[in-house]
Amino acid sequence: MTPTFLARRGWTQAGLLAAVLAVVVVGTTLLGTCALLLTTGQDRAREAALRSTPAEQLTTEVRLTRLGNDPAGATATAAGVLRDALAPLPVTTSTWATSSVRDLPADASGDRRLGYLADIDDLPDVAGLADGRWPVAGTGPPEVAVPVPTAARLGLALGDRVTLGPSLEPTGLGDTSPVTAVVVGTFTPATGGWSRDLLGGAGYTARFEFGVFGGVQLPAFGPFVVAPHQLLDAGGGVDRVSLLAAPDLGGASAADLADARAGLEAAPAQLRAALAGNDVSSRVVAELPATLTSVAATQAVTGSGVLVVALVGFALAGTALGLAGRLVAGRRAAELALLTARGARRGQLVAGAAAEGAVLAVVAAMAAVPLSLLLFRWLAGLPRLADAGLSGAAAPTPALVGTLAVGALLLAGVLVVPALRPAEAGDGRRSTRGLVIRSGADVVLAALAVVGFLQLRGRPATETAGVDPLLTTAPVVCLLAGAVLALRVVPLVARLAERSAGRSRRLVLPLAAWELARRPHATGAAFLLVLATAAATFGVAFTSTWRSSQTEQADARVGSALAVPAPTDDLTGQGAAVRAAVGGTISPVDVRPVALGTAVRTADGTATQLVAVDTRHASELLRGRLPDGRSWPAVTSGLTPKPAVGLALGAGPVVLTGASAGTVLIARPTLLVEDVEGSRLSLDAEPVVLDGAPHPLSLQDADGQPPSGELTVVGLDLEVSAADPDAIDPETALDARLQVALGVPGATTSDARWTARQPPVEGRPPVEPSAAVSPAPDGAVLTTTAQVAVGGLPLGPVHLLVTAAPPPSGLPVLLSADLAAAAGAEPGDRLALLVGSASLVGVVAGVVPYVPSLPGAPGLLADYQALARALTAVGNTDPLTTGWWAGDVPDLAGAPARLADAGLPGAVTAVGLGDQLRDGPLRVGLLAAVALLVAAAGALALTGTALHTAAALSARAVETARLQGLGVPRRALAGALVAEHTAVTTLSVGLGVGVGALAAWLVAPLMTVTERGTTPVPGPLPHWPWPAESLLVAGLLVGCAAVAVPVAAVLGRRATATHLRLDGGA
Amino acid sequence: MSEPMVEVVGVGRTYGTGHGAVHALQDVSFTVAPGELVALVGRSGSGKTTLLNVVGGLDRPDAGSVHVAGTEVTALDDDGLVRLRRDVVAYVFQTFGLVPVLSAAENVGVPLRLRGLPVAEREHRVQLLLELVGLAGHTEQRPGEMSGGQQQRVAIARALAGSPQLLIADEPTGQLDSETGLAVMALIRAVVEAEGMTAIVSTHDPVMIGLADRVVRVADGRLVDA
Repeated sequence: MTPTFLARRGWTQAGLLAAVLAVVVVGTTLLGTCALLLTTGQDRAREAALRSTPAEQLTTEVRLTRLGNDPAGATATAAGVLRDALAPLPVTTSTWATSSVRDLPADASGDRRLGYLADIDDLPDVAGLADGRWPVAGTGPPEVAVPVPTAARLGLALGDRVTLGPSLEPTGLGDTSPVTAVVVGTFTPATGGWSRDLLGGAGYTARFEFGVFGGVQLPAFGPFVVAPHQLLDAGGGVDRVSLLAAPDLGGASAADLADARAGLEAAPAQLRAALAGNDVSSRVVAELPATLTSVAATQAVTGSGVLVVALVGFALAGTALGLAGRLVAGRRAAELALLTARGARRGQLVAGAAAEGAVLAVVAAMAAVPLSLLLFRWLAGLPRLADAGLSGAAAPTPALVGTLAVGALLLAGVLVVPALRPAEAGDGRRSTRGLVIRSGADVVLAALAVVGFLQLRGRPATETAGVDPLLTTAPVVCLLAGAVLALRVVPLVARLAERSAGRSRRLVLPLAAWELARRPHATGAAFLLVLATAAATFGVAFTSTWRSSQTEQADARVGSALAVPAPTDDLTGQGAAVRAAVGGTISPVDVRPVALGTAVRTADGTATQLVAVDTRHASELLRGRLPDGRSWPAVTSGLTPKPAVGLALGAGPVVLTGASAGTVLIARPTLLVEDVEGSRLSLDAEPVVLDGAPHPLSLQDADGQPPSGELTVVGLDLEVSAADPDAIDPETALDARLQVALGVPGATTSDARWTARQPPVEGRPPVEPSAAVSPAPDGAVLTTTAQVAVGGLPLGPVHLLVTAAPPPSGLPVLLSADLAAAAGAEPGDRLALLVGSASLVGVVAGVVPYVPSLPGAPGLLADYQALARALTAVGNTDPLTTGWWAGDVPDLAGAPARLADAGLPGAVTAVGLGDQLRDGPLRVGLLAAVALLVAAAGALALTGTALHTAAALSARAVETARLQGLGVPRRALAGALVAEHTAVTTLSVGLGVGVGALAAWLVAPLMTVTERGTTPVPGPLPHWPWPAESLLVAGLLVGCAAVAVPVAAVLGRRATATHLRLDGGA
Repeated sequence: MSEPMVEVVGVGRTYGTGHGAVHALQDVSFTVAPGELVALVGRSGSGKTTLLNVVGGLDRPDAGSVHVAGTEVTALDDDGLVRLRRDVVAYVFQTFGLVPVLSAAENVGVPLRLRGLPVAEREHRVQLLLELVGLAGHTEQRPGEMSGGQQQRVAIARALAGSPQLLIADEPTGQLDSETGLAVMALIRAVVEAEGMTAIVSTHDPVMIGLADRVVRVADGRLVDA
């Protein structure tokens, strides 16, 4: 077979080869676009993801303590190590040095006050100048700028001098002489970025824990910020240095990031070695490696999905080419028989086919390069991908060219296969050997599919480190096997049609049935349609399943429509601020680690968390699908305690009046109050002597501010002790009776059953205190009577606790399934819970698949009020709220911004998280690839149909002419072809839908993993979007008909007497 | 004198245009009487097949007229031609013309299906026809499983299935060996005599020529004698 022969034959059969080339180009372009999604697309996705990652997740911090006399040198050394670790990424560093705590001049009452210096080299970037100017280094007294609250509370004005005393920390900090500084400016810390400050940017705290074990609490002010580097260069007095490195990740390649990650992992050891010559203590806190690992894991998961698409597309293209190859071989059967008869060896024929295939491959690859780039550019410019930051033109890469070359060669190689086999006889009888071989191949493929499915189902729910080969190959094998097995139905139906044909009087339908049953090429076309329909319908169903699962995962992770952390311990007014910003139904939430018995963490190291939320509004607040149609209101109904009615706090002072018998007592009262949103707060007051006189209480919250907003008193904690401890014989047991009345202005009495209790004292008979509420002229009075032990052992104050609800016998909790299994707990069991330092008894009210906001992690769910009461009952009156949840929020999209403006940053919405999981830059490529597959499947199906019907056009021209010669009308012949095609198409598409549906039901949920490659919680439910699938199927049927019907019409017209001169060819 | 079965008057057929035009037929006129077996003789490319196609309505002449069984073929539309080929004219092709995916019985049954015969009647007639051509035991075989002679006999049986008035055979023995060809020719002769049909057979075969009632010679698109 000379090149001239090949060229002439190719020219003569240009139409057929053009159709074959089109199939190769479609398949190769799909591969190339997938390759671009996996390379250029992934690079852009990574950059976009890192751009949108919060800065704190990209920075690396080095914390230095015990700096001695040369903090500047140690800092410079640490900066060098950090830069080397992050190389080759450009790095911006920020140095934050904090002095030891020092005494400030005492206040007017003579009380001690503390302050500290700071050296912040990027102060203008993290604070806004309120007045004056930033400090500069000079020859005079050091200049300082202070936070506005510091200046206000200390009464400092610009130009004032303030002296900070010697260091109060243990020795070893070098020169720590007093420092007298001049205030030259005041500033307001920007939101965020002040976590390195001792006071978190607040400028003041009333209770700075100081001294050994933080046993002393004093007011503290600061920082007093000096000029950059002035504190470091002073040589001593620096308590700690925080060095923050922010790498510039724009344009960083995967290799650069891998180097940086490795460098950071080695940084702690390198830093210790670099600082080994002195006593400096160092610690590296790097979020970047975890962030990069997370990005890489997500990209690996997405990459696996794109590879599945590429493989399925390749299989489709290969199938289409297999069909094309058989058609070409059939077309050339006589020619090849002639060549063989003329002495051509099989090797020569194969070489000729291979040469032709190679030319096709080269042309296809060359065409596919620009087509892939164009298609990628168009795809990346679609709204979802463009919004994710993937838009823009792409350039050819070695990976692209290599993929296209290999793909085109492999696809074109499919064309060579028919040349290796003799053409099947045109009478449609298959050889027994061929049937046995095909049956064997079907069995092997089916077995592989079953094994792949079982392995996929049994795949461990662990994070993936790279592309998951099982996740990538199993779906492809399952689809192929499904299509192959489904194809078995076609001959059965064809045989039925054959039998029916024999019993028919007519010609058209029986002719169609015979052609369908006995033409071998019909099976090839059917298989392509089955596989293409299966791939397309599976793709549509997988997209719907996957998107739905992301929404459900977001619901489960956030736990509610909106969740926002409580920024500080000062909760006063936070609930009102949340309500004003968000609206809807809101609830305080407490999320904290707990210990079950002695177990603090599960076997995999995950800490057990307790989530407490207002379960009265479970239907509005709790999100996340539960299996078996259960609802959160139903499963949490056993957690909600009976409502407790407290005493509304009105205008006017709260007055405490007390009297004691036996000895004079003093009581330090703490009011437990709830705001309108149900958040528990505690208000402290100065100790009161129980001398029978009314004492108005000056209540303060944790921030030292008076209470504000609508508050309800739900408890009173009295810390009772002897007024004169020296008068008490510590070895003599002494009990004192007391009666305390708390006047609450504006309150009304209610049916609340107030109770009082005090911890039992060993060796003393138990005494039940009493409590009652009675009306008063200006409100209500809560009166409690008790007998307390103030002498003998144990020494120390006694707590008397009065609450609006009786102490609970246990805390009802729901357990997550994994926790229940690990603990062997069942409903009704009682568990020992350690919540902070409080020991509680939990009562298992039920087991749920997961706790909202803790999917996949061990957790307990309780009611907020129930938890508050349980903790109060054991004497724990600490603030309870760590965050806020909201449901039924109008304008949810704008809620996080409104909350940030109100000083509550960090809000997350389930909808927002869902959008990120679905359409984030690292994820969006997957569905883009699936959409590409659906389109390619449709294109290949139509191309295959066109090929098949075009082949019929040429192969049956003679036969058609003969039948016309027998008197068969042209319309009847066209009708037979249309009937045959309709039967093949309808049956194949129907079978393909069946295979796609089965794969959607069985495989799609298994392919739907989290962005880290783990099993989602809740487990994905298969979705079958009927409208989209119906549209797809209708499109395929109509498209195939649009191709076949004109061909059938042309067939009848073209068959002329000319064909009667030919023997089987055009 | 009875009306001729076939009357060809001044028929001409040209393929192509200009310098490349091929005058396949030029002013051809002849008649065929009912029950006559006419041998159409000529070299390859003389116009035999074109003339047969024109007579049978598979091709349209550029000039002249053709009457078959009193019907002007050249004036028929497509539907008329279909009816002509279904009810009046039957073809036997040199390359047998069988549908490769149909069995012998199914091939023979095609004309009967066109007439909508009841299934039982059709199957009975098919069996009779195959017995007539000596292939009663080959009903389920497909063309690829039969010899050339067997295939041609099936083709003849198919041609007879519609009880045509005119049988047109284009070199029916062209692909057969002499012995088989002789058998096929004898069959055609016997069928023509038994069924009383008219037949036009193009052939090179001197035996067939010898079996014919009349010989019409064609050369370069013209009749040498009619």
